[in-house]
Amino acid sequence: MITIENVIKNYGKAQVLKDVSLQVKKGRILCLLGPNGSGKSTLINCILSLVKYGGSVGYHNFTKKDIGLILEDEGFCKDLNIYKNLKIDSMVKKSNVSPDELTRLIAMVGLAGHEKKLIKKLSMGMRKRLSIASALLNDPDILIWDEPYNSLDPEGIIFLRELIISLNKKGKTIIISTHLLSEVERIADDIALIYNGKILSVMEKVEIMLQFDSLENFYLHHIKNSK
Amino acid sequence: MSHILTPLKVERIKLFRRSNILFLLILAYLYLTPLSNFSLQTETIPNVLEFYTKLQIFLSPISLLAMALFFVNSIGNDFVEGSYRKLIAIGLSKKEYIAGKLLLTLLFSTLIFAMNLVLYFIYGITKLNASLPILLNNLTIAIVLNQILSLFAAGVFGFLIIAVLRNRTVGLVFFPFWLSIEFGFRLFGKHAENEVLTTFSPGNALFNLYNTLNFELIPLIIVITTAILFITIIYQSLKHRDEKGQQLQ
Repeated sequence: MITIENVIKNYGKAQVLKDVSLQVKKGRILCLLGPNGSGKSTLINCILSLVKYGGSVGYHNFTKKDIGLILEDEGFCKDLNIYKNLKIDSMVKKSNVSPDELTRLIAMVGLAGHEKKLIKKLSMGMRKRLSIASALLNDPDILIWDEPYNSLDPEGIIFLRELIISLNKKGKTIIISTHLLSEVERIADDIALIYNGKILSVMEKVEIMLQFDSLENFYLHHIKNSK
Repeated sequence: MSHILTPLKVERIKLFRRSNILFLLILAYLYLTPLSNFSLQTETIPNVLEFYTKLQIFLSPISLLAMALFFVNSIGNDFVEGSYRKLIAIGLSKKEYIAGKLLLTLLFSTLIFAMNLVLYFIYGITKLNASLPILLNNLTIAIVLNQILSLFAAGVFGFLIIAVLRNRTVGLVFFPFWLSIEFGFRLFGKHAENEVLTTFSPGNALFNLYNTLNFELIPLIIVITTAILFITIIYQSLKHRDEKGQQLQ
């Protein structure tokens, strides 16, 4: 569904992505796993063409408007309310979503009754929930979520986990970047371990469990070897 | 058509946000306060045309400055909050983004022009006891186009500064500072009898066109060229720049 080939990214003299190649398969959950500063967000920025990079990223049979996106910085207009922010996103995606549908989406992510609340008055967790609602506009086939668990409380994490699993059951392709091993272990089909801008390993979770017993062992084994 | 209108519809929603309304109120205050000074001067103005010319010369620097500052503030929000980055990420093209802002600039230019026109009518009727048809006689198509175009170019100038610098505070400080530089060019031009700077510097070119009563080719070409140059720089600046998140800045 997405083919990433030999992607290189430099910020000044620092090379933050080093010849990254990766394939995202249709209908699967790919977790980009790696410590802070490993290049996960930069790789997502490259996939979304938010930054200039070397190499290529190929989309097969979809455009950017078909992606349901969560960025690490939510990018909402802070002195507009929840409803208007979602309305703007739906207009940009040309999704012709009715007002009722927007209200239903807001309720689905647990923000019912807060439609008129300004973004600057929301907690970080509530903003993340709004990002999830925005990502689900248009019923996208592919979801790219950068650090979706950040700022969520335990209830929010459980909600997100169940949502990811149910979306995947409907055939959605999902890319998630995170450093939370426990969540990756619960939801991932495929895991790409990224460290210092390099992909150290891409494996199916089933294989990892057979070979390393746990995700933690897989993670520590590769990170230690690359140091 | 919807392709062009979508960014404008997005801008319409964003226009009525609290920070923009507060900023508009501050601009209105800055705009109206010096008018009390102008109303004292109207006592000595003999006819409607001279009155109109004086009022426009009086209003033009404030109107042009208001346009530039409003767009620095409004577009500055997009960069500070990261909403520009998100809109680009979810599928708005950079050309659509620029088109939306330019359409908004055009609408806003018309609004400021209309506000100045209302002031002209109010002053004309109350201070000069002139009737509406007499006041309208001085209004030509050339004046309307010249003023709207120069206001539009001032808004584009504001867009340029914020698109290149991406810093709202610097942008807001830049324009009053720039106004004083342009005023310096004008004084220098008068003193040295050299009109190059007063003709070609962006602020003076806008001021000249705003206060031109007929179709005059040179100020028109200078402002159109300046606006095209600014829009090209804006596009190139948005096109070639990395849109990193705050975590990666």
